[in-house]
Amino acid sequence: MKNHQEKIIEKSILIVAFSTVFILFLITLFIFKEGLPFILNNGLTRLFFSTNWSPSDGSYGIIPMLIGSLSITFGALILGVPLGVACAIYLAEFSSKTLRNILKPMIELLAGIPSVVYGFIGMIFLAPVIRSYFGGPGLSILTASIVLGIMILPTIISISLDALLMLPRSYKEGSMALGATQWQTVTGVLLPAARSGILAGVILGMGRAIGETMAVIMVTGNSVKVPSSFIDSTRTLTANIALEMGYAIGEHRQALFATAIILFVFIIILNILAMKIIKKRRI
Amino acid sequence: MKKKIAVLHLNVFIKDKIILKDINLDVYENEILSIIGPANSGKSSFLRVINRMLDINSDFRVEGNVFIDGEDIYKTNVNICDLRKRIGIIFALPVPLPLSIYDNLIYGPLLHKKISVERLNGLVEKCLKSASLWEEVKDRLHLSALQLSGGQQQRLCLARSLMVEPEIILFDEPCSGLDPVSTSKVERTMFELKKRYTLILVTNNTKQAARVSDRTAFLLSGKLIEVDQTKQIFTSPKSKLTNDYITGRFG
Repeated sequence: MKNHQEKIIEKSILIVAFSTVFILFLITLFIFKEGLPFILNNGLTRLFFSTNWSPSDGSYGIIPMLIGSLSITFGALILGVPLGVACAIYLAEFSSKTLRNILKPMIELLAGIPSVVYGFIGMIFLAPVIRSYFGGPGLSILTASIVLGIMILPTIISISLDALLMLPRSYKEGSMALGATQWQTVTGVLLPAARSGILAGVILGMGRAIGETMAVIMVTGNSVKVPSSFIDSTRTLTANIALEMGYAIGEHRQALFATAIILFVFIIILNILAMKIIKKRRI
Repeated sequence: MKKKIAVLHLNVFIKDKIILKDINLDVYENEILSIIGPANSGKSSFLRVINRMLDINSDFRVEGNVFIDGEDIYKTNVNICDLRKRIGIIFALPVPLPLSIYDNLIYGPLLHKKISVERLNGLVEKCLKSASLWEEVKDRLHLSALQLSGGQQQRLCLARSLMVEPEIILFDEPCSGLDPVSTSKVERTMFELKKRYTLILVTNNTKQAARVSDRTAFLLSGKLIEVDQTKQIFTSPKSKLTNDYITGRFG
């Protein structure tokens, strides 16, 4: 009797577990069903070999948005990676345990703040500052990079911190016993040993930066053109989908879904890369 | 014989718990001093006091004095990194860094000064030979150190601490995880090293202490019960406690 009950529980848990995978499968299927016809009919050339996006004239070049997405992501990494890794190093090696136990949950809380709040703060406080110091419209690549750079901090910090804390204590002791300072130990032994974990954190942060939509819509200005400088306004791929999907019909709608396919593939590649790096323990 | 280390009225507390009580002990140049005693008697902590590895532990307190070459190492103006360079330590578990054999060895010297590649290579060969590891690894110096056997890793750690040209080498139960063959290799190496360095050996293995050391100290619950010539300790110890411990009648 007991055995029977056990079996039922086991099977239902299996179904629950697979339902998430099934949902992912459905989403993928849906995006591809809607977007693939456009790619099949036009090839990728119509998306990639044009800098002009004006659906009313039937031109669907995503290059401006691609440049927007990539430059903002890159900017976010320039800000977020050094800050995040430095913070992880401090928490792992230099701070006291009590301080770490206070700061770590607070940093994780940063990830829980809705992105619209980040966007709001960027729009109200950051954009005017950028406008008055650098000129331009204020809603720009730079503004978005700063906002996104802060948004990806929790991801980078917590994954890098875990990677550093997982290292055996003996690495530190072995290095210090040879007369290394704490900083020499960090740069010479601990960072190289934890580099796969840190890299995985950076890649996941990058995925988050590319995928972020709401905050980006609020601080980039959303003009569809190839940006000429970092204080120019721009539009990202995600923002483009969110802004136009509401009224798009026909080929326009398909083109947006095709954009989604490109984003989807990009994120999947980044995540697979991150997982591979985490799995591949050094030496 | 010249005094290398002088320990005077040393009390050590970790988290307000007393670990070492009023230790007075001298260590002479070019000798091997064994420290024996049951677990938790403060042997390892004693070693960590001497090279100030205890400092990594934030919650500790040291009273009394430790002099090395007449200089108090707990004075505030002591450069701890320099001190640790002068005093190598070999831990119970080998601690190779996650680098190649060669990089493990050159890690220490490069921390302290720039050295030419030729001199480094010469130093690597010399230290590996001193640690009797050269023959086994000379063709695969760029292999990861983590792929060596336990005994080889331990000798690599020994070679690595020799690379920074220390004066004193501390052994913290260096053979506890090794097989008899590796153990005898490490012991033979210690005999060789004695000519140039001052050695302190903490060991759970009383037979090992009897085999390799010139003098032996017996620690019990943080107190130094007795220190004397090894022969004396193992044939006619003054204290009954020492006698009980080395004959295995303890507790």
